[in-house]
This record gives sequence, structure tokens and C-alpha cells, in this order.
Amino acid sequence: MISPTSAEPEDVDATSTSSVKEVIVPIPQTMTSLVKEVKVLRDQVQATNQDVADLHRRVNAHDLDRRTHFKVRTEMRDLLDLVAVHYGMSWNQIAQLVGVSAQAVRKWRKGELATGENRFAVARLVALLDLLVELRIANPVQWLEVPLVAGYSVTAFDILAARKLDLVLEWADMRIDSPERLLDLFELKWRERYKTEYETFIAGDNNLSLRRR
Amino acid sequence: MYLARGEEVDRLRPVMQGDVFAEVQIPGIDFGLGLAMVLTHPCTMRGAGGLLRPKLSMARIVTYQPLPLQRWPAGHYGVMPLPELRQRDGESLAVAFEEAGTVRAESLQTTGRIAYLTDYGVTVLQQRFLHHHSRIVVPLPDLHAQAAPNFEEADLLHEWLEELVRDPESSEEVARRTRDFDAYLNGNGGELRDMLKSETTRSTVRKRVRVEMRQRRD
Repeated sequence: MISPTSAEPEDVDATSTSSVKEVIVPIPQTMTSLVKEVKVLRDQVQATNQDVADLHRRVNAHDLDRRTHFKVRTEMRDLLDLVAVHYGMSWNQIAQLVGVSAQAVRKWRKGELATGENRFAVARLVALLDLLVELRIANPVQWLEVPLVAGYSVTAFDILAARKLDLVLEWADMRIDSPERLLDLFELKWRERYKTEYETFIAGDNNLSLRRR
Repeated sequence: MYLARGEEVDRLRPVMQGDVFAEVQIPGIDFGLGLAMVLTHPCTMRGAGGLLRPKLSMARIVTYQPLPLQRWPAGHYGVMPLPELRQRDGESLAVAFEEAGTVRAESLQTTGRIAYLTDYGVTVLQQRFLHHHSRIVVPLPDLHAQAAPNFEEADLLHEWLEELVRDPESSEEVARRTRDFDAYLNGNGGELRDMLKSETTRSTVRKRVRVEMRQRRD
């Protein structure tokens, strides 16, 4: 039997009818204190970790703003060239992320003026793609387009299009340890919403076809 | 649902599933001219040189009761509503899948096109059309995954023609530039066309095609 207070082993009642003599092994005073101290330390580190994570996110947001303000000095057509030609994003994707129609983007390509707000949005997109490259994502558009989990259609592009930029940056910076965890943070019901019942395959005529998984 | 309607429609946009044309006669369906929608799947509408095959499947667009979006999944499976197709007050139209027939592609002029659909609109059309004919429901993301290479190719061809065609009214030049694009995608054993089939390589194709069109322009 273990006694928390006694310093010495003590015998149990000698009049006990038990045939086995039990020995009390005490917990040292220092071990109890150590357990408490480590628990407190762990709680503090956890709280600090959370504070640092929040600070990191705020700093990232400021950094992106700073980069955007620099990029917005570029002509709109040059910004669009960067996104489309340098990074390989489709015009529909650009329209979706900026929040306009594909026709609007087409007009900007032909030289029509965009509002300040839209120009800022395109500049921000360029800044984001640059930032992803600095986070060692060699082809950021490809990285955005590939489904995150096999058997589910959802991509990092979908998360970005849902205005969850902070999640995308956390994922890019490897602060989230798995795509499933990322998707849990994005949408709890992702397994129901994005499950794909069919898969594509290359059929005999060299075109893609669909079949059930 | 619409990528372009009315004045937004660009004659250089390649013909695609879901395109709406005016003054189309569908032999064996009705008499006279009217609105019609292309039903042929993008995988099968083009032949050699990337040019349209001689015949396309099209369906008549008819007047139909207005149908709010939330009621689309619950019935009216023989049509796909086309809300505000011509943006005329009081007009409500839908494409009727049973009123379908074969039309000669040469009879369609891109100047007669009045609307074309977004990728989303085309997949909704595919889903309703497939369900009408087979009672099978294929989710939209799965349909999109299959058709994505065709959507990408159509977008890139459109961009190619916008960059390189000097005279949009010259059907000969448009056909020539279309064949150039097709040849470019088919180069090196069809490498770029194959790369369009995968999400991992689509952005690379966009980059290379855009660099190429700028080089040809300059």
C-alpha cells in the first residue's frame, strides 16, 4: 500500500487476518511537487504557444498587407500576367478569388479600368502566390488545385475561395499536421459534402471517363 | 450559370456544350427556327484539327413555367431551366431534352450564338440530361472532374484566338488558328493535352500555352 505522507515504509495492521504482509511504499514529497510544477509549466507553455500562434497569424496578415500595398503599384494587366502567365492560374479561378465575373477579368485583360478595390484584390492574390513560393511551394497554383485527401474533391483552392486565407497560410507553413485536420478546421462536415463517388480514368479513346469507385 | 449573354458573347469563343443559338432549325422536331442548345458532350464534338464535327446534337429551348432554384432537384427532370436567358421581363425559358435532334454544325454561325454557360452551368446541364435519360444522378464535382480538361482546353483556345486572330470575321483565319492550337497541344505525342487531364499539371499547361501565344503574337 502506498502512503502519500509517510516517509518510511510502514506495516499494515499486524492483527490482520491476511496471510500476506503488505508494505507501504511512500511517494516522495519531491515527486508530488514535481508533478504539480510540470503541469503548471505545461499549461503555461500551451497558453504561450497559443498566444504565439495568434501573434504569428496577425504578423502574417500584416506582412501580406505590406506586400499587397507594394504590388498594387503595378499595372493591372501586368498583375494579371503575373497570375496567369507566371503562375498559371486560370481566368475563372482569378475571377472566383477576386469575387467578380469572368467577363470582368476579360475586360481588364483588354485594358478596361478596374475599381481600386478589385485592383487591390488582384495585387493581394499576386502577393499571396509570392508568399507561398517563399514558403517553399514551388508551384503554388498546382498546390492549390490538387485534392487534399484522396476520394474527396475539396482542395486548398476551395478553402481560399471560401475566404479562409489564414487556414491556407497555416497549412502552407506546415503548422497543421494533416490534411484531415485542416479540413476539420475548414468544415466539420467535409467528409459528407466533398466525398466523390466516382473516379476519372482514361478510356479507350484517350479521353477521361467516369466510373464508380 | 452563364459565362456570357447577349452583347458579352464573343464570336471567338469555341462552340461548347450548353451554347445557345438563335434561329436554329432542328429537323424532325418542329418546324421553323428558334432557340436551341448544344447537347453534344465536349469530348465528342471535335475532330481533326480541333474543328467541330459535321453534326451536333441540339435541343429546343421552350417557354416554361418559372422554377426557383430550390425546386430544380425535386422534379421537372425533362428540362433544364434557363432563368433570365435573354433578360426579358416576363420571359421564362428552359431547354427540353425530349425536343432534341441533329443539326449540321456548318449551319451554326457563332454570330448566331446568344449565350454560353460557365463550367458550373455545363455540369448542371450534364447532370440533368444524364438523369433524364438514365435516372442516374452523378454529383456535380464528379462531372466537373471528368470534363475539366475540355473546359480548360476551350478556355485556352478562346484565349489563343483572342491573342492571335487579326480578323475575327474571317472564318478561314479562325479555322487556321484553331488548327494551329490543336497542333500545338498534340505536339510531342500529345504531351500537353495529356497534362490537361491531371490537376497536378494543368497550371503548367496554362503557363506554356500562354508563353507560346505571346511568342507567336510577337
